[in-house]
Amino acid sequence: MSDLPRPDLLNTLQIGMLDHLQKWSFHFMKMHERLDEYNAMWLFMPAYHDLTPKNKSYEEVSQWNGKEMKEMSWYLHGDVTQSLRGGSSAQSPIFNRAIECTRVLFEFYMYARYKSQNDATLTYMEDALHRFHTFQDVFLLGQAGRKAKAKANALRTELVKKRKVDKETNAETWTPSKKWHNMNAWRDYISHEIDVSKEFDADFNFPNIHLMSHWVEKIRRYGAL
Amino acid sequence: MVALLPIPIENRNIPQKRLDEQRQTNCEVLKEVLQRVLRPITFKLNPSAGSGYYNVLCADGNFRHCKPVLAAWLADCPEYSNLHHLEPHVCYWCECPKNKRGDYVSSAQQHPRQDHNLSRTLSDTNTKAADAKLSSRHVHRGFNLF
Repeated sequence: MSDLPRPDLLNTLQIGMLDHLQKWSFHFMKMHERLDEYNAMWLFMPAYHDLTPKNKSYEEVSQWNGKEMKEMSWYLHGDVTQSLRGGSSAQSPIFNRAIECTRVLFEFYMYARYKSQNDATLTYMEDALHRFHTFQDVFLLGQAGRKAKAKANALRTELVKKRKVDKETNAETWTPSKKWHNMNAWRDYISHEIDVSKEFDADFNFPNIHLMSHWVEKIRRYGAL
Repeated sequence: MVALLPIPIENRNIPQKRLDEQRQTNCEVLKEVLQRVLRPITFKLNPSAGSGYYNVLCADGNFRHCKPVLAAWLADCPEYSNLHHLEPHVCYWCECPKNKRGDYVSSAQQHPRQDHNLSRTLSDTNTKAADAKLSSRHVHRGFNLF
C-alpha cells in the first residue's frame, strides 16, 4: 500500500511547478520593467494546432486550470526569452539565468511526459533537474512569502522614518540639488535593503520542488508516467 | 463519494476546541469509509480472498475473470499528507527534513524512505517515547491509510 502514491504530472508539475514558474516570471518581469513586453508577447501568440490565440494579456487572466497550464507550457519559454531580449550588459547575465531556469524546468516537464523512457532520457531528466536547482535562485525574490513580505514592509516603514528624520534634520543646510540627490540615494538604499531582506527570508522550501527529485527513481521503478 | 456525505461544517468563526473535534471526526469518517471501500481491492491486505474475482467486460468485447488490484493512487500533496496522517507539506516518500525540501537531491542520494509500518507500530504503542518519535518524524498518531 505504501507504494501506491505515484508521481503526478497534473498536481506536481502543471498546476504546481509551472504555476510557480509563471508567477516567478511575472514578478521577474515586473522587477526588471519588462512587464509590457511580457504582456504584449502573450497577446502575440498565434493560433497553431491546439493552441488558441489569447485575447487577454497575462495580467488579465484571473484563473488557470490544468489544460491552460499545459497549453501555456508550449509558449512560456518563448515568451520569457523574447521579453528579456536586449538587456544591458549588467542585466544580460541575470536575464540569461532566468531564461535558462525556465528552459530547464520545461525540459524536465517535457521529458517527464514521454510515453516511454530509457536510461538516456532519465539522465536528461536528472540533468535538467540539477540545472534547475543551479539557476533557480534568480527567481528567489518572486518566492518571498507572506512572512518575508511582512518583514520587508516593516523594514521599509522603519527606513522611511529614518529618511524623514534625516530630511528634517538637514532641511536648512541642504541645497535643492543636494536634497534631490540625497532623496534619490535614500530611495535606492531602501529599495536595495528591502530586496536583501526578502532574499534573506525567501526560500524554495515547498513540497512540489522536492517531489520532482523522486521522479527519476519512481520512473525507473514503475515505468513511464 | 460516500466519504463526502457527512458534510463537514465550515471551519471558520468557531472555537478551536470545536474545530479540533471536527477535524478528528472528519479523519475518523475518512478512515472508516476508505477502509470499507478499499478492502475488496487491496490485494496486499487480502491476498488469499477468492471473492474479489468477477467477470469484467473488456474493451475487445470479451468477458474476463478478473480481480481488480489497486495499483496507484494519484492525488495532490495535501491529500497524501492527510491519508498518511502526516504533518502538512511533509514528503510522503522519504524522510527529507522540512527545511531541506528546496535542496537538490540526486536520485542516487535520496533520503531514507518513509517507513509507514514503523509509524503504524509507533502509533499503536501508546507511550510518550513513541509519541516523541512520531512527532520527530512529523507523523500524527492514528490513522494511516497506506
